[in-house]
Amino acid sequence: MAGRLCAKGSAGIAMEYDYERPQHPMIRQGERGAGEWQRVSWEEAMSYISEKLKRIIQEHGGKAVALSDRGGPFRDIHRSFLRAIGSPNYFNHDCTCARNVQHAAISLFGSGRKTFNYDYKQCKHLVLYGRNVFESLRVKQANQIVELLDRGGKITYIDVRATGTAVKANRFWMLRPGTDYALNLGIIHTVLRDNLYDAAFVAKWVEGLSELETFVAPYTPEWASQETGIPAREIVEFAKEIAEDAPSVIFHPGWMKARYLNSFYESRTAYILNVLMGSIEAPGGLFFQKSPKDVGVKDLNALLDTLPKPKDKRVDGCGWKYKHFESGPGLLHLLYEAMERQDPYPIKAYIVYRHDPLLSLPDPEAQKKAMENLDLLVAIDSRYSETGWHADVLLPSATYLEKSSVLATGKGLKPQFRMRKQAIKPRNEAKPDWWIFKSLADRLRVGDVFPFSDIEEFWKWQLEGTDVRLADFQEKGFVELTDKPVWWDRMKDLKFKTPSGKIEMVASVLDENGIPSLKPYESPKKPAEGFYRLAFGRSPVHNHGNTMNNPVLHEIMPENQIWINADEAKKLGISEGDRVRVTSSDGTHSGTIRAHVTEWIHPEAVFMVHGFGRKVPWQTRGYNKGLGDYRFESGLLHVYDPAGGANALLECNVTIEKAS
Amino acid sequence: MAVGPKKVKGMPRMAYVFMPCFHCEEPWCVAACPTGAMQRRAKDGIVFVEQDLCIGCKSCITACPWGVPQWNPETGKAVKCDYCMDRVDQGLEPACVSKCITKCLHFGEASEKTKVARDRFAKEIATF
Repeated sequence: MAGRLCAKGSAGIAMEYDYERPQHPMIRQGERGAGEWQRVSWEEAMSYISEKLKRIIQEHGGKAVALSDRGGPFRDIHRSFLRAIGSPNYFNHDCTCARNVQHAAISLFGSGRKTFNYDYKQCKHLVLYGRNVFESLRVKQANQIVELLDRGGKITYIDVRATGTAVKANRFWMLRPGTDYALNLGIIHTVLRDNLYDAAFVAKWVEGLSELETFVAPYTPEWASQETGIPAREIVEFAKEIAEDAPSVIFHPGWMKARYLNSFYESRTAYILNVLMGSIEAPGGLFFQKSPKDVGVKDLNALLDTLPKPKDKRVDGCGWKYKHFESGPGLLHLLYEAMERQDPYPIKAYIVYRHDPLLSLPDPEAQKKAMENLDLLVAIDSRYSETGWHADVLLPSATYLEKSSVLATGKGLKPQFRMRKQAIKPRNEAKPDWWIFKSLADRLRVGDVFPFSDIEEFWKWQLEGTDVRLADFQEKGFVELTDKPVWWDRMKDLKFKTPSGKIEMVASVLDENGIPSLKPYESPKKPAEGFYRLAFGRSPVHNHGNTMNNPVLHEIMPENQIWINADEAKKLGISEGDRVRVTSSDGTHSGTIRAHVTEWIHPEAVFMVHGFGRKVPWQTRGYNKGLGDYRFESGLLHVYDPAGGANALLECNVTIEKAS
Repeated sequence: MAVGPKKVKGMPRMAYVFMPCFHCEEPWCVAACPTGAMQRRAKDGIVFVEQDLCIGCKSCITACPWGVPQWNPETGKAVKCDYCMDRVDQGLEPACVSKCITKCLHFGEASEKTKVARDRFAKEIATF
């Protein structure tokens, strides 16, 4: 059998038939978050929301309405809804995810991180910086990487702890937290010094090599060794080894890199190492994801393109105040800043769709305070999220099994169109999101932007102008737009959207905004005596914070533990399995959890799996189990990487003591 | 069951030990069962619990040296790995095999499956 389901996939049925999910629309009665709800009909809920929105739009304009989601390929309808009411304020979750990577890619290549994908199938040496591929699991990718190992390929894994990926890697470097950037500088220094780079590729495509050379001159492997704790000899050995396998090598620039204040530069230098190895558009390296247009097929029609761009500027300043931040999904932490200050204009309504900012951005208490300035907070979700519990209106959306979504484009070596089709009827009163946003648009009298009555009609319109028909999706759910994988000639046919048309070591977009492209290294502060840096990550059996209450997955992993270095634990008198008290650096949040004592975590760091410590009482299984990293990140809502824009979630210190 | 990580030549190494039932030739759980619910299937040796006959006395749980039979609090009866014999009888793989994400698990006759291991080993040591 080719396809496999991970634990989360198999637990989908348990999620579907779980009683503990939102069943009908509800309107808040008591204080926000008090859990006093009134069950209402869809008619009542939608008229409540639309009346409030009408008043807000009348008084403050459409721009006073913000919406956030978790990104993905199915956004056209709700983004169009927002644009139809005249708001530029679309956000997604990416400030707690890949924004630094996105901006790093833009600064070098002129286009974002999804310009490329990774050819694990032919890769000979894969370098991962905390990208925990066997636990932050994608099934197809995990299999390709297992096969990479099987045919003698190598993995170098770099992290503050030994993950499920580290235990399969050929090389594991447990480095000091926050020093990945120093490691990369040391590697680049070695690669340039010892002429280990792809000179032909670099000569053809790189602008600013000499600036890079000058910049890394002081960053010797010996220097990097002092910063990271990795022996200089090993850094040099590694550089030689990987150059032998170039260009079939991948330095993974990262995915969730909302970690440190310098994560943008870590990601940017990982990209630079790919460029120096010539692995761009090389088999086994990073390939350009081809679009339908690249194979002569028209793109899917998008509703968003039919609507005029809102006249108002984004409230978060992305694209105008902060020109180096992409305006598309903006930066959600800057929405909170705008909400707090009501500057440059007030935000009065916030619609949270399939997203849980109170669990993913730092400091839920600070977020709730900012939300006090909202007249309306709406959550649309198929589960009880922390944000949904705090909302004014909670609308039950259909699960992925219960709804059809807009057709999506899958870019890649073989671009394709994809269809996600409803498998079963929505349970209880859940509704698909396209219906929710279309109905709201009708009530706000902007319904004419949605000229369709059901999703099939919309699909047909999306496909107009292509040769693809709905029936073509019948068999597999996707349609490949070409038979053979498309590779471009990497010495001739590459196109970079930078001003120079080349890969820019010194990026004009950064320079013009006073941000250095090649930033002198600053050593991360050591936590003060008695403090540890709180790192978080994933488990293969839980999906971010979505599944802690899933009946099956809860049974496998009901709560998280805190990892602590064995020597540190000894000093604190903590043994494996002890109950310990963890307290945030400002003392405002505290809780107990079981300790996992191990030599496989850096002494400066402690670690917990993300998403636990839930406070929605109607989720009886997950309620109050384990601790949530986000609650310890007090004071960090507005702390972010100034170059990449993402939150610096690991700039978080905690104390630990044996619980009495 | 996950064991580790342990330090092996300076590297963290984890062992993932797959512990289904051994389906013994002379299973102690079968001998311990007072009602005949625990049985060994003649045609292929699969040891299984006939749920209708199980009275939930837990004798099998105490009898098995490897702790294979488990208590199901919802039914008040014992359950154990029976290689998903309902699936096997339909020509399907046991659920754990069809489910294994990275395809580590295989199911079949011992004589057949050793060939897979021998083939792999041969490829490893072959010199040209």
